Amino acid sequence: MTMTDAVGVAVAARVRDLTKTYGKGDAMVRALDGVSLDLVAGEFTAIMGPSGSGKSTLMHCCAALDTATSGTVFIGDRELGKLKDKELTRLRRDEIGFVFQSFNPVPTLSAEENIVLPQSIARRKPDREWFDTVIETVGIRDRLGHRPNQLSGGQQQRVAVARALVGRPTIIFADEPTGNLDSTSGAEVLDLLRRSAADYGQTVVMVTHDPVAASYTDRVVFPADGRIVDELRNPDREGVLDVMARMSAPAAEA
Amino acid sequence: MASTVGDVVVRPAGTDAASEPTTRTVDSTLVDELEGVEGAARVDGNVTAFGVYVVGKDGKLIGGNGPPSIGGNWSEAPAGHDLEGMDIIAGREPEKQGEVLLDSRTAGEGGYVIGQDVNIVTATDRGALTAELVGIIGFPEGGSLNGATFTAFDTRTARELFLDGKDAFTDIWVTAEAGTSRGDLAEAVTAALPDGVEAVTGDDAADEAASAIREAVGFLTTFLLIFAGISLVVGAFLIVNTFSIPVAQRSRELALLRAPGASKKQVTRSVLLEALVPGLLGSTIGLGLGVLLAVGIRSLFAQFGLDLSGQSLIMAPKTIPAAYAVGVIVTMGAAFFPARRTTKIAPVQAMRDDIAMPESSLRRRFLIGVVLMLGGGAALAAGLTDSVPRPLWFVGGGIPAILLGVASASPVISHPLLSAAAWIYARLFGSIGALAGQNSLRNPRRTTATSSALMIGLSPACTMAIVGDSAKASVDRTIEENFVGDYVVSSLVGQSFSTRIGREMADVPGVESVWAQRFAISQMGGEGQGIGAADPATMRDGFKIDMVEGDLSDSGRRHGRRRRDLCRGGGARGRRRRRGSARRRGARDGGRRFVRREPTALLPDRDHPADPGRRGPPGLRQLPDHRHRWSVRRAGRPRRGRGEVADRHRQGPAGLRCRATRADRPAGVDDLRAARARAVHRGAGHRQHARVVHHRAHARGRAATGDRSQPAPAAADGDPRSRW
Ligand SMILES: Nc1ncnc2c1ncn2[C@@H]1O[C@H](COP(=O)(O)OP(=O)(O)OP(=O)(O)O)[C@@H](O)[C@H]1O
Ligand SMILES: [Mg+2]
Repeated sequence: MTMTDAVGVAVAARVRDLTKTYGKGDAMVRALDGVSLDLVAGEFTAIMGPSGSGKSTLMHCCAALDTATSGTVFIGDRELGKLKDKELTRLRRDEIGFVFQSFNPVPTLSAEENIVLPQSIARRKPDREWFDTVIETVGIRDRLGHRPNQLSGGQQQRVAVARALVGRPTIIFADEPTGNLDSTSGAEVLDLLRRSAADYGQTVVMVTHDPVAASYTDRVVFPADGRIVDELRNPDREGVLDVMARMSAPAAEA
Repeated sequence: MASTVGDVVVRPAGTDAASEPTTRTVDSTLVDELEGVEGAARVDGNVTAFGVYVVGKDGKLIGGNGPPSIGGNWSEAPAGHDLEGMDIIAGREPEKQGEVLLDSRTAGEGGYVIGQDVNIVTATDRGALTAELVGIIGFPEGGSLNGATFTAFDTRTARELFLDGKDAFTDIWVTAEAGTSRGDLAEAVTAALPDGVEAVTGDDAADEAASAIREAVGFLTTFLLIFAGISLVVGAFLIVNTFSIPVAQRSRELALLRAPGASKKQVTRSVLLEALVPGLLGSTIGLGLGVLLAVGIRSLFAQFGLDLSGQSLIMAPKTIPAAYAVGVIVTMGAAFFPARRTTKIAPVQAMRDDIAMPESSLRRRFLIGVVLMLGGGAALAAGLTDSVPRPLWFVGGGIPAILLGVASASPVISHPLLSAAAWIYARLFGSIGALAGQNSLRNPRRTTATSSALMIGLSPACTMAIVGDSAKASVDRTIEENFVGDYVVSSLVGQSFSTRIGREMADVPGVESVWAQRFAISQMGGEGQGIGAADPATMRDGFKIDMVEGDLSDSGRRHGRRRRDLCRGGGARGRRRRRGSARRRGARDGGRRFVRREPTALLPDRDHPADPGRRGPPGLRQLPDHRHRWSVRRAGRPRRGRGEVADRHRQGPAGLRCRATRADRPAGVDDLRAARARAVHRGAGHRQHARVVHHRAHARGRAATGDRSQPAPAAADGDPRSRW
């Protein structure tokens, strides 16, 4: 499932020279400009960068939800670009959990149905005990029967996190999972994500703008203008703020 | 009794039930002779004539449009072949002149009860007559004349009316004894028959009649099928369009299923299932509406005179699965293709923007559209210029191709137009207008899908309007080009009518001359050939004829020879249409004449109303001489005298129609028509002065020529109702 790199660390996902452009001619945008990144198995990684730096794009490309213009993405030992549609579908369903930046629930399904959607698509029974744990942690038990349009933004986000976790995927991509949450519920969600990595060996990647959220993780990478420009291990709030200040300084001067 | 048929039918050789009755008859002595044939239970002679109309008490013609108006004698011949026979259900049979039987429906519609005088209009020399209703006939065991009217006289009166008093019958029915097969009886009867008379089983006669009717209503079937085809194409297109809009909008939602791992198959299947339900529902409702519409159309046809009420609606079992199959397949197909389109792009791409259709697919659509348009245009041109075999197929294929091509290319084609519209909106309505313009430009597919639906919905409406007007215009032009007269008087129901009317018209003060022409369809080498007959003066003055060769003035003397040419000469002679061939033929066949545009060969006719005692040329003897259609022409000042003709015939020519031969005289026609209506239906009319009335009479029937096995084709006058 995972490959081991030269140093002997298992790698859950590997990105090499990934480029993604939108539009063409004058209107062309380079969302990703040759990104290379290894996501270590069982690690909780945060991606922090200015808005528009290509974080979401990177996540989409890694999660087989979008196609890159060039470059390669490996999930485990499989290169996404070489997979057939069927295999990609199975990968999305069984091995990847994704929390969209703006959660995209299926509007016609209830919160619970949305949460177990990957399992119902696969015609599998969700693990009830784990389901309960996740629901309890994100705190939406009393909202399970509601439709997405009856949920607040924060509740929707928690539903999204629950869906990404319930299937116990190998990799969880979370695009600003706590962006709409108050600090208490945000902390609970972050704790859950950290436990997923620490206790269950899942690889968790999270985009965030919050240095506190980043301090929950094992590692923070900093993209800017379509490239990874910096990286912190075992970050704390101050360290993250330092890097952020460093990164924005030249921009402020310019 | 036209709706039923005897076991064995004895008739003049070469007749078939498909043809309209001719003046040919079988001798009445045959009845007695055939009674001696072994296996014959009884023998009955029938006199049958068409164009015998009953005028209701309100002065309106009963039936007559579509199903025939049959007259004849009453005999108690039982219908063979297990068919329901007609019987007298009230009153008694007619015994002498002045007594008549009516079928129950006709009597009911006319408001006649036994003992009352019935007004009857015949196409015979007698014209109109009145007779006392002495009995009513019907089907005691249930059955119907299918909208035909039946008027029965005693045999002598029927003969006087329809057979010039000849001691003869139109045909003879022989009824088989129990235990004798119809085939055997037919053989036995045949053996007893003189030359020139034949016997067929009733089954064969019925088949002949049925196939003739089928052929006669064939145009209707074709027309309805074409209409159904157009509806189907339009409907399918609209469905495809309708589905492509929500699926485009739903591509986002489908992508939401794709993201957590729904396969293409699952997404497609869900869309198909979703389409299945409206497909089934729509088909069901459509079937129901179709039945309702059929009922409605039937009563509409009855309004226009094609009375189908005698026939119950037929709902073939295969209609139902066919309707469901079409409905469901079209709906699911319509849902499938857009769904497949959305599953082709990455989930995020679909999620981000429901309009994110790749530019290349638009370009491909445009290219496909252009190819379709060009191909369709080429096919259309090829078909229209007759430069390919089966040109109709090319035309029929080209038009839909162009239509689909335009629809397919429309997102690109419409872009400049939409841009212009957007600019104008922005100018006129400021930022709101700019928004509107941008919206229509944002998703060209959606915008054009909507307008294509409108486009394709309007096109059949336009088609029908244009076809209708063109047909009208072409009839007008045909009349204008071929008729020298001012007015054409013809039967309202496309049937022949009495020569008497023509003579009476000739007597109208101010009438300059009345021209008569008979018309018949004959078979020549298997091809239908219209034959017109008129006297030489009428030919000279009443028609616009390109004389190819010869001289009209000497045609009278030579008609005998010409008759033989025409009747026995076989196929090629009758062909015209192409002027070149007409010329060639004309050149070879001295006195033959061709009307330039009409497929009509002309023969001299001595049976001009002015000279009623004389028979027509021998070759046309089989044209029933009482079955005339008249054209009336009025010259001089159009506003005068239109009431006169009608007024003179207020009792007589029920259901006559008058139309102008030239478009620049519409007022005159309308007035004349209105006056005719008044005269005929209400017995009122204006006395005015008709200065000149020409007329022509057309007779329809068959000449005894050529291939008998084929039914007579429709009359060439283009009036579909005359095809019955
Ligand atoms: N569909 C698209 N078409 C054109 N440009 C796009 C598209 N999607 C993203 N971009 C551009 O690509 C760049 C990266 O976008 P992305 O969404 O990855 O940023 P982000 O880092 O997630 O920002 P944020 O923190 O605001 O979520 C941006 O400049 C954005 O404008
Ligand atoms: Mg983002």
